Amino acid sequence: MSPFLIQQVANGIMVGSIYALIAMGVAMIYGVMNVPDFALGAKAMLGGYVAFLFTATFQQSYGVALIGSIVVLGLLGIGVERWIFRPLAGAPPINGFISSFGLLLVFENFALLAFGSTYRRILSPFDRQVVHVLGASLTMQRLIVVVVAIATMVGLHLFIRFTAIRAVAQNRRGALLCGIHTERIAGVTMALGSALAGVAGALVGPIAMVYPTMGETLIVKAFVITILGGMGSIVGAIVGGYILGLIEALGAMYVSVDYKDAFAFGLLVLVLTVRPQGLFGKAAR
Amino acid sequence: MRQAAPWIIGGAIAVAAPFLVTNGYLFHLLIIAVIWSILATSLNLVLGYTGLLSLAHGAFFGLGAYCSALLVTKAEWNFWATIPPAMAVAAAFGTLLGLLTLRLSGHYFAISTLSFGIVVSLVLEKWDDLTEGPRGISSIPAPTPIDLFGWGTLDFESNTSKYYLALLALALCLLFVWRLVHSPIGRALEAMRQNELLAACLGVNLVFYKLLAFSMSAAMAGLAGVLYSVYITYINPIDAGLWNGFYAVMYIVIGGMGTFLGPVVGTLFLVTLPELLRAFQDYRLLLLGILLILTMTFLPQGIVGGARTLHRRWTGR
Repeated sequence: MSPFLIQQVANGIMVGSIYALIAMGVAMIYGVMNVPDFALGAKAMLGGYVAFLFTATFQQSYGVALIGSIVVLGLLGIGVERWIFRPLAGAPPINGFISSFGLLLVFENFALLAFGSTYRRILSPFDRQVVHVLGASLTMQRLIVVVVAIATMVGLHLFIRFTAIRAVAQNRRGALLCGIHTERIAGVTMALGSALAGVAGALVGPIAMVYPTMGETLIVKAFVITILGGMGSIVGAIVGGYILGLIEALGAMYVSVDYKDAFAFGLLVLVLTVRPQGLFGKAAR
Repeated sequence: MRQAAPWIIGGAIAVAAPFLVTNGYLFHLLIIAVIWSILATSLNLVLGYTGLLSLAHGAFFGLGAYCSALLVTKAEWNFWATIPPAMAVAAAFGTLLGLLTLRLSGHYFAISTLSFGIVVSLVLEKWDDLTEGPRGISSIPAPTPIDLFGWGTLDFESNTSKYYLALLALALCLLFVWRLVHSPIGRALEAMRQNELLAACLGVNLVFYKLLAFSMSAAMAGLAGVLYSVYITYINPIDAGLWNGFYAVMYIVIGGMGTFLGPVVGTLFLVTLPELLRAFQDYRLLLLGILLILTMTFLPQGIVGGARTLHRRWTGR
């Protein structure tokens, strides 16, 4: 493999990690609450701004900023579930989707009013250190993105496997009958999903910039990934995230840089025609 | 006769509006609201009457606008001749997208249409040779004057004439939707929205009727785009982006999903509301987001649906 190709693969894995984090959040929330959370990209954006505040305004280290985004976004997730999605419990699923779109408007415009439309950069000490892996030179920050993302996803996946979240995702009514407090589980899931998005925003902030509309393409791609992996399938979301990251990186190299953002759509068309239930989904429809 | 009275009064107010609204900016908003109402009405056919959340209508709107504007500015077509191809292009894309996605249910459909919208604005932005890229198409001429065979010519330079043009288009679209909804096709759509499984069991061809509604709706959205391009005289890829489709969803939800006049009421309300709240100009979209969430929570049937419930309670029926 040429060094350039290795470089592109490394970039693809980095971007894929970010996609996988958000797609996992989408899959978790969809699994438990049956709502594709359209505001999750905006939550990643807010996570980026929280990390920016911690590093730039409060002069904290990057590690503290990462934890800060997790905590703040987790709390936000709890609030959103309690005050916005819980009252919609009996309504048609389309209502939840529209509400999450309202949330997107609120978050984006809040960020625009609070931080302005200028692009902000999160300062990370790891952004200047360069490491060489298999002939590709990467900044430490990119490596950290991959490591933190994988650690978070593996940890969370294990957590879900052994907690009631899994039960609620499988069958909400059945879980309720077993005495599981499904509403509380929904709150926890929303908190975890939002925190995932927050981590993604804080991780990508030092590499790409943080700005109010940064979440829009992220969430659309995360949605495409969840369809690719199968709606509600967490493993599918993670694998799909890396697949899309790699396709974009290699496609930008071999096909076209201009249309990089359209590859996700091409992939979607392919999946919908060949395997509509997704790679890891059950054949339900 | 009592049934017809509100319609006649409403129509009369709409026709007299250019003489009632003297403020130029308000009149501009009114024209915009009429054009958006066409988009919202087209989306209502899909979202309200069929129960499909399409986020591609911004793209259909943009396709119609670009198609007409390109034919007028680059191929120097007569404006009126560009309307059928513009609507046909939007409908063709709608049919293609529908063939691919309408077999899927619910969220799959919404997400697929969403990514279609992204690709359309991306292609419009990058296909520089044809679409002028991010610069957009500017100085789109007013509609070609119509020769009235010895009775002079009808030109469309003034805002008043453009208002009547948009109003006529809106009236035709509303009439079309009304006729469609009260036809056997409309009953099939309604049956699908209420219970897809039952409708299928009763012999309704789900995919066919969804595809029909979706492509007709796309054509109507294209028409709205044509009128927009010729009124604003400038379009760019952002006009075909996701936000126009989102706003249309918002207008419908707040006006009343699946009600005949909900899209129009919602659009009028949301386009003129910011003017009443001028002090909150910067917070406009933030407040709209909150309003949308509150509507979903407390008044999911929207303004028109809520008014209908009140009316029913009041008259005791």
